[in-house]
Parts: sequence; C-alpha cells; structure tokens
Amino acid sequence: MLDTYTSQNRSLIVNQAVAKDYAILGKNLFILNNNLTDNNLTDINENTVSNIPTELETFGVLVNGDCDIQLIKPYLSRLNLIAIQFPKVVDGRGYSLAYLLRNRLKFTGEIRAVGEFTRDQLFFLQRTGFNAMTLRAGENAEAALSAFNTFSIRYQGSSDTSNPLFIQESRHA
Amino acid sequence: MYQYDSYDQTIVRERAIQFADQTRRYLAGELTEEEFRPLRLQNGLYIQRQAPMLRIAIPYGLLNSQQMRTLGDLAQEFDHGYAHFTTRQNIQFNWPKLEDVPTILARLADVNMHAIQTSGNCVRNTTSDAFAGIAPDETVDPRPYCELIRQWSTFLPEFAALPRKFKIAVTGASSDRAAIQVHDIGIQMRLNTEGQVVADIRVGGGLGRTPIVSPLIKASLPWQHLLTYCEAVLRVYNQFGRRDNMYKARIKILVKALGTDAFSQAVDEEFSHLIDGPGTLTQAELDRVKQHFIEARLAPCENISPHSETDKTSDPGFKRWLERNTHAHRVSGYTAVSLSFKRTGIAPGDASTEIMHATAQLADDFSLGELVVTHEQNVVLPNVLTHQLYDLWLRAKKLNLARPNIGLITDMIACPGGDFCSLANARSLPIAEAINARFEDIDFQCDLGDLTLNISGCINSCGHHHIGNIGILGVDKNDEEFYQITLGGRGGNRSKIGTVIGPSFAAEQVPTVLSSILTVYTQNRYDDELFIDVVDRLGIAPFKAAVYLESH
Repeated sequence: MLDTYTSQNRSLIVNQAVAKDYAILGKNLFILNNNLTDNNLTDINENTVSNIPTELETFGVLVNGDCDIQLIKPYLSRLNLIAIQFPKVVDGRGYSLAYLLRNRLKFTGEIRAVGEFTRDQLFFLQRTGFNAMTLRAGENAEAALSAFNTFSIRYQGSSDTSNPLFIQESRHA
Repeated sequence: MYQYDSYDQTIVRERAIQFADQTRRYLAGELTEEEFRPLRLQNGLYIQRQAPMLRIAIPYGLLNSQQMRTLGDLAQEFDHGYAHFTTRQNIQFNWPKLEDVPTILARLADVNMHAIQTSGNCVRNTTSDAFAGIAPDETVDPRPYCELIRQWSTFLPEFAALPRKFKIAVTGASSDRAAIQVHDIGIQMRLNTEGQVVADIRVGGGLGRTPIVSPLIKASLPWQHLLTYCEAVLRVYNQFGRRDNMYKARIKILVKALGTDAFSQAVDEEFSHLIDGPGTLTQAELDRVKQHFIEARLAPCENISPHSETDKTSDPGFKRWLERNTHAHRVSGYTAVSLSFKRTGIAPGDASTEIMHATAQLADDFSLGELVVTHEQNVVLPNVLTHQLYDLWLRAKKLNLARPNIGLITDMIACPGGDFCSLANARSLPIAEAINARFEDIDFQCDLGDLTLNISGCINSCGHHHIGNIGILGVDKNDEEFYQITLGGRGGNRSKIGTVIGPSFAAEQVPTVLSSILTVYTQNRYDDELFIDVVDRLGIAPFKAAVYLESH
C-alpha cells in the first residue's frame, strides 16, 4: 500500500538521521483527506480513514497540505504519524499545517513530509515541525543530512524553537 | 545605518555557501531545472532574454558608500559595467554568468549585503520612504521597523513557498512616499494621541492584472505586535490563498474574495494565538536596532535657507536645481538632495560603474557616507550640509546627475521592458527616450509642474503605470508593440488606479499623444493647478477627445 512512499529507493530521514527500518515506519497509513493529487496513489479507496480497523490502537494518516486541522483532531489520540504530502515544491501549505499541528494541537508524534521536495527544503521542514522526511527517489540521504545545518542562525521562532533570536541575551550583550 | 552584528554576518555568509552548493548541483545535473528554479529565484536570479538577471536587495533603499562602491566593482567585474535601480529600491545586474553568482554573493556578504528573497514566492525586500529618518512630516522613523521586518522575514521557514510573491512597505510620515496602498502589506507607523508608536495596517493592495488600492485591516496596532500580526496575515494567506491560477494568487485576490471584514476576522483569530507570545517585539531589541540610525545624532547647525546658496553663483540652473532636487531635512542646517538618474540617452535608473563609484564619493564627501535608492529610481544624499549645496551641485553637474527634473515629466519611472525582461510584451526604454527627446526643454517641464509618468513593459506593472498620473503600458498586438495610455492614477495617501483612455498606440505616436494630453492640461488649468487635479476635475473625456481627434 502507498508504495510511492515506502519504496526502497527513497530514503527516510527521522530525527535528522537515516532511518533503517523503513517498512515498519510506513505501515498502517490511511488517507484522511481525499484530494491528494499524486497519480501514483492508485489504492486510495482501500486506505481511507473509514476503513481503519477498530482494533487498531495506533495508526498514521496521509493528508494534503490544505487539510483543516479540525479534520485530524478526532483521531489525534490514536495517531502516531501524520504524513503531509507536498504535491509541488512550491506548494508551501504543508509548512503551515505542520506548524499548526505542533502548536495548536500539540501533536508530539511523527510528522513526515512526503512528495515533491529536495534536500534544499529540509531546513524549512525541520523548523516548521516535521521530524521525518521521505526523500525523493535517488536523493543521497547521508549528503542530505547536512541540509539541517545550512544555517546556524534562526532569526524567528517556529516549531523547533519558539524564541526568536532577538530575545536571546547574547544579542544584547 | 544598521550595522550587521555577528549573527547577521553569519547568515549572509551561510547563504552564499548554500547557493554555491545549489549552483554546483544544478550544473552537475543533480538538480533539475524545475528543482533549481525556486532556489535561484529566492536568490534573485532570473533567466532573462540575454543572460541571467541578478537582483540584489537594498533593504529600504539604504546604502553606505562602501556598499555602493562594491556594487560598482561587481558591475565591472561580472557584468557589462552597469546596473539598474528598480522601483522597489533594489539593484539589478543584467549580464552575470550563473557560475559567477556564488562569488558575487560572497563579495556582497563582505559588505553586509545579499540577494535573499529578492524574487520568488516569498516575503520580498521591505521598502520604505526615501526620506525616512529625515522628512519633516515624519513622526516615526520607519527604518528600525523595516530592519526588524527584514530580519524576521529572512528564511521565514513556514512561508518559504507562498502562493505568490509578497511585498511589504512601511512609512512613518504623514505623506506616503512608499506606495503603501499598493503593497501586499502596507504599514503606516504613527504616534497615537498618547504619544505611543502604533501601526495602521493595510492588506491586499497591488498592481498587475488586478490593480487594487488596499483596505485598512487593522488600526492602531501597538508596535510590539508588528511581527506577530504580519505572521498571522501570512499564515492565513499561506493556507487559503489560491494556488490554482498564478494570476489570482496574490493576497489581494483572497482579501477581495473573503471581503475585508471576514479577512480581518480570520487574521484576528490567528493573531489571538500569537499576541503577547515570544514573537512580540521588545523595547531592548527596538533600542538595539534604533541606535544604528545616525540621523537622530546629527548635530544641528545654523539654520540657513538653501536659497542663501544662490549668492555663490548667477547660474540660473543652480536655482532651478535647488527648487526641484533638494528637500527639507528635519535637522536644522541640513538638506536632502536627489541625484537625478533620469538623463537623456540613458535608461531610467541605470548606473555605470563609474557613476556608482562617483556617487559613493559624493556620499562620503557630502552625506556622511549614506545614500538612499528611491522608489522613483533616483539616489538621494540624505544628509547634506545646506552650506555645501553649491559645491555639491558643481560636482553632481559634472557627473550629469544634476538634471533639475525631480518630480517632472522626464523623472519617469520605467521598468527595463522588452530589451531585457523575458516577461515584457513591449520595450519601455525607447518610449522613455522618445519622451526625453520630446520634452527635453526644462522650462517647458517646469511649466508643466509636478506630474508622474510611469511606463511598464507588460501587465506585471513593475513600472507602476496604474498609479502614474500618466501611465503607459506596453501591450502585444499580433506580435507588434503597442502602448496603452491611462490617465488619473495617483500614488501616495490618495492612491488611485488610472483610467484607460482608449485604444492603444504605436510607439512612434506616443510622444504626440502625450503632447495632446498636456495641451488640454495647459489650456484648462487654473493658476498653479496640478495636472492630476485637472484630470480629476475634468475627467478623461476632453483628453480622450483631443487625442483621438488628432490621431484619426
């Protein structure tokens, strides 16, 4: 199921390290909102949230960046993964969704970015609340890890640190 | 002006390193054209007709002489020896090689400059009043707030891929010289009746295909909440702005679709989660940034009138220059001076390496090393001692930077147009040059008085033709260049979108059409009545009649 995001030629990064056990992390993923635009997702119908077995204690959902957090809220206590799809690299709605999940719903489970982005977006993804990213096919995961250190300075707060640079004491020394 | 500390310096250096790596990966085939595109755009790098175009940020237009010299050096080493000042107070190089851009960025970083977010669908360079910090009608110096916005908006992670570009302009004066009503966010800083600094926030203005003067969304916002309020606006826009059609993706379309009240309620709801949170500005940070702006520390001098300088010469040109190109300064003994970059035979806003170096020297010799690039594509020396005006005039005149045409018809704003820009439908520069030739006579220009003329080579409206008293828009008709004329546009506090007078004209007709329009004005004005006021009083009908009667 959802082969696009669990294929072995795509690496998965979790907590700024290359994840080893890829298959387990991708298990039990259900589609929450149905306007996902990825044509590779052929098995959408079987994997919608209406088909979640009641005995399943925890599971993950796959959503598009425009998903209203109110749709996610009812499942929150059972969710261990929210995968947010980026249909295009220039569609930044997923960043706001991750921010809202972390800051409004206080979701502490895995938020994984999937879809169209390169290592150049990892810094922004990590800052807004993603702690996992499925890289595009063929992206070198070890090399991509360096992207988390692109900038050592963060002017503004986000999900990673709520404090902007200007309230750090050292700036006013 | 603001001096980078080690944090600011680190971030521009890291950016240069990042872009060097991205360029290397693109050239090595590791990044596709489509993947590289948003990365290069957020570094101000366009692929243009002739070569890449690199836009460098000049935050709120303010430069020191060392930065201006560096820009001149870069133009010589990596370009064809010239560059172009834009209507958003930035500077563009038209001919750099892609593989040189990382080096250019590193050189810029050495002088506290960058090209971060000068293009692409992100928060762009913040613009302001060219007379910020010195204008007598200003109650709040907007520059510290602009700098705070610059830092906050730099690599703003959540808003790195907005539906469309996003431009913020700030003024602190009673007369708006920053076009805040036609920006995505327009901020009016002012003092409230208790003497506290507050901001009136407009959202959803813009030009382009759908020109809109922005509505007021929030009045009297205490300055401490400026960044968190902007964050709320951006979060609403990032989630709900249209992404299906790039022509309907600007925030103005969202504000219009929701209605001002519903939009402002949505922002207020979001803002309620952020108010008084960690993003709230502190007095300590405002003070840290403020101390860098030197005007407040200028030592007042004897308050002499600029006209006392006329004793030094009998040249009538000097008097005219004093009238048109100098501006009141709020510290006694000082005057601000506009160097005119609107010269016959040179594209509006273009500057050669030699001129950039010479301008830097003028700043050192006359203006405490500071310069401001204006929205009108000129350069202001903000801090000139009034008793040195004559000396400055002599020097500027030798450099052909003393044309006394500030605010007159030949002080026109023009985009680079079809000569350079791949978006353009028509060329702007030959039209600008034809207007220069037709209205060369400075007596005639002065008689016409204050008048704004704006030329855009396409509907993207970089030349802001919608808000020119006379607007000229290049259009394409069956692969031929034509020009549509609008009348009655205004910038400033009473911003208004001009009205198209009728069918468009071929390039060679444009000067004659303008002459007809101006004749209607001179025949109908009362005393000192301005062109725009006559258009407002009479409507466009008499102008239209004159133009189309003569051309048919």
